[in-house]
Amino acid sequence: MRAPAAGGAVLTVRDLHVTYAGGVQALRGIDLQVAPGETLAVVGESGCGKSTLATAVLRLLPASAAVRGSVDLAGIDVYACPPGAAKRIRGQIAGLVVQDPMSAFNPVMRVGEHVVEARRLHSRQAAGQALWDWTVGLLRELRIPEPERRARQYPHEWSGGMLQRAAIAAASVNRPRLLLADEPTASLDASLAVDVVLGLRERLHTQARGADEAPAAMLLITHQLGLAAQVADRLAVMYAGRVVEVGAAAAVIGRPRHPYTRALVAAMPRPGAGLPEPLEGELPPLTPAPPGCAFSARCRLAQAACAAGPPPPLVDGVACPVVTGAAA
Amino acid sequence: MAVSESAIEATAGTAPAAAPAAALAAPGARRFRTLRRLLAHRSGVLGLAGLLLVAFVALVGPHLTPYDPTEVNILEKLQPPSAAHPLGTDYLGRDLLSRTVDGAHRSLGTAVAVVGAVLAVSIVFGCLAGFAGGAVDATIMRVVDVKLGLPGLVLSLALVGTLGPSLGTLILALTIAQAPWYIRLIRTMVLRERERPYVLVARVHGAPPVAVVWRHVIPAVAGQLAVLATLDLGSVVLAVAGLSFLGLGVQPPAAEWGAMLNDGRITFALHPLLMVVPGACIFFTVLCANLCGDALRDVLDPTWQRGREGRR
Amino acid sequence: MNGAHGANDSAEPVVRLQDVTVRYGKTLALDGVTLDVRPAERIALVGDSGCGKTTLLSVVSGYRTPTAGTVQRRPGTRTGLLLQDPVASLNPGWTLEQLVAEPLRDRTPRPDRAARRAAVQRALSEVRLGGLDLSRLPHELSVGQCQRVALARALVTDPTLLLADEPTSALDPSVAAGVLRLLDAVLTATGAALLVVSHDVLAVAPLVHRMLVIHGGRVVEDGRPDDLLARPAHATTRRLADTAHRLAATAPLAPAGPAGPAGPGQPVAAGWPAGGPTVAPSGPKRST
Repeated sequence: MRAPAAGGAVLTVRDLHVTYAGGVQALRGIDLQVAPGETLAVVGESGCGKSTLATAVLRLLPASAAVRGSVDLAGIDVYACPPGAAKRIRGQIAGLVVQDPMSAFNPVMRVGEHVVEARRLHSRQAAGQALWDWTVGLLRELRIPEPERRARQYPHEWSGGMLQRAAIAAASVNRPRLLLADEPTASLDASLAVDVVLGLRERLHTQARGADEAPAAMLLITHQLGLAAQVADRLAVMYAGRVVEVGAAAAVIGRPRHPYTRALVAAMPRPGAGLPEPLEGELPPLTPAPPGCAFSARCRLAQAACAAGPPPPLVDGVACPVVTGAAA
Repeated sequence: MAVSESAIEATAGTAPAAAPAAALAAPGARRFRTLRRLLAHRSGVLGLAGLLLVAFVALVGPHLTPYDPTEVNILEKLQPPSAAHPLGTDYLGRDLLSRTVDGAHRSLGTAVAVVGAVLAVSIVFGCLAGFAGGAVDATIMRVVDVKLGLPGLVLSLALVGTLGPSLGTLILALTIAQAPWYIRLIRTMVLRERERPYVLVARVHGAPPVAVVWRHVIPAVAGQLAVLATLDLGSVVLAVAGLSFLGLGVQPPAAEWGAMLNDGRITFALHPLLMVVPGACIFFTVLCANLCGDALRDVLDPTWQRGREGRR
Repeated sequence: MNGAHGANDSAEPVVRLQDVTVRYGKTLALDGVTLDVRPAERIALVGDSGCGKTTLLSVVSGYRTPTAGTVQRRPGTRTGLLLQDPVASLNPGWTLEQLVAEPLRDRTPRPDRAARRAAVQRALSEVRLGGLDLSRLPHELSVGQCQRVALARALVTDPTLLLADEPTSALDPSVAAGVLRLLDAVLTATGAALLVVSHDVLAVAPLVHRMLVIHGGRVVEDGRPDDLLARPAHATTRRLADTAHRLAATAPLAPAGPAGPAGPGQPVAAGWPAGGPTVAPSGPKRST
């Protein structure tokens, strides 16, 4: 079921709108593309819609959510295909790593068995010693110490960081084209978080070894800019259900343009720079979203026109007419 | 409704008059917050009104019955409804309306007595087990485990066989049957509430253990308990009716809805009212109790707002 | 000794731990820790999960009694506590006023209603929530606001010792920055001592004078944050410093190959002190 790797993007999201049953507009017109082998980090704070994006891409939204727009994964229209095909997409074309590793594992199943099951669900490889050995090898590749012993243990016997690596193994076991990591490190210590994120990136490269294909792509969703900076090629910043800035990661962090991105960058702790800058105010309610730019209420550059009309579109990678106008 | 009232008070964060620990003095509005929320809950108000109606009948009814509920009049037996007997008569010629009204206080009153006794016993032992821990906890829980291993109905029969059937035995049997569940439940609630982060914070901020228990643990436990007890009221009414139906509780000629169901069984085909009326009363009482219990659960949830009932 | 640590250096320590050991069954959580917390001193306890830093905090708070060793608290010390999960640390059925006023109810003599309300208003305005309706419930507030309410509650008795267990770990970075600044302002104004536990060194480094690295229940390094991060000695400190370096970098690292420890070729984050310690511009105030 794989589309040819060369050429088209692995993931294309076009004008995606998602509104939940209570009237909350979680996504208000998202346009995104992830090229093969690329790592796109989607950064934003609580309530920006980034988790909705992950669930929407995998067609895991609740049935009561209203979806408009399209999601194209490796040539397949996720919402136009029958539900059975969507199920096949998850795990085979796209893998998912979630925030809490403990909740990703069946507590009464050994960790190794879990990875084996993930493999068997989507490939025809029969269970047996060969598959088990292969699983142990995969864990070793992810630098789990004593993989033979560890694979026979239960999830509660593993530490959080190691378990997250096993989750990465299970998610990537069928060499998916796209790995979705939704806040994969939120429940981990800072040093572990960096390890895991680097491990994710490493995994994408090693899984492609031995085949004639480009490494898999990754969509990394996080609220920590510094973490995203570790592995991202491109970075998209979300606020209130829209992308407000997108571009090369180094450029977005080094020379942020949108006022919200600038605020996020200023809030990153830096040694020797004193306490980071806070951002005052709250996310506006999204039932429905306010007119114009949702950030205008908290924005230093806001003008009267910002709070009226449709939300500003992305122009040259930034959704702020004030910034674009000034640059022109 | 004595149990629920004090639970409402406790949950609202105000102390009943005799409490030693001080509640934060609240403006009058907040003191009755829970009560006002209860009155704003549509189905809850209906349930409450229904229960109050039954309670009223139970208290006042026996003095207002047109006939003596136990007066036998064979000549008038099995009469259909008429001007003289609005609901007809039973197989002994006793007025059905009078018996139904008279039966209310036995059916509902017994249930309330059982729930009250269960709460009293289980709060004592549940709190003891939860707070004391150690050997005390272990002892209490082993006794509870043993009791839970005994089938309830068999135990009830054994008690009735030993002590003779009566309302008192009925209350005792049902209390013993229910208490162990509640003891275990209360103990779990106590253990869980004690571990709350805000309890830890209160202790570190200098609150003595008793104050913390009074402010945080008791209201939470009491609130959950009030909901359970109210919902259980319905099932206890049914249990009382069931045991009386089997002849294990109220003895003839005393009127009780469950016993009346039994009485009406034989003549059901031709005279359905004799079962339908007491059955409808049981149904109505249990329904009202359940509506109240649901409302209480909603009201005690701080995030509940009027108009969102049924959105669990 | 100069007044680098604020107020009374020569005064009695607020809390003194001597050779404190804590065991849970067979597990050794703390192993012979000795620590003095001086008045107005700000200390960060850093290390990985399970290293014992939270246990150390609970011993200092008085909540946990050590298996061995002594804990001495200066008489009259008032303690405030801030926990990681802002929402769970507030009783969901209590109003804003009840929540913040709670510590006042246990003071002797107990302040009357009016005095309590005034103190609540003061505490709330200190944490920049002055305009909020006092009858609000926790679920009506955002997570960041909940943490500020918890901070107001911790401050309402004018504490001399503030304890914080991962106070910003559950917050978005921009919200966390606000809470950290608040903490800084409040501590400077009140002169309270601070003991803060964090797994994220970068977040707390600008806030504190002194950092203790905990590993295996022992304090393995103790010094100024800038020093420890620039010249880590112990392996744990090195790892924490390495993580801090990486996260603070304003550019992504070289494209992936197998990840390894930061080598000499890795870019150094802008702003790192090249040599000696740097006084952070908005760091802890030093008395002259």
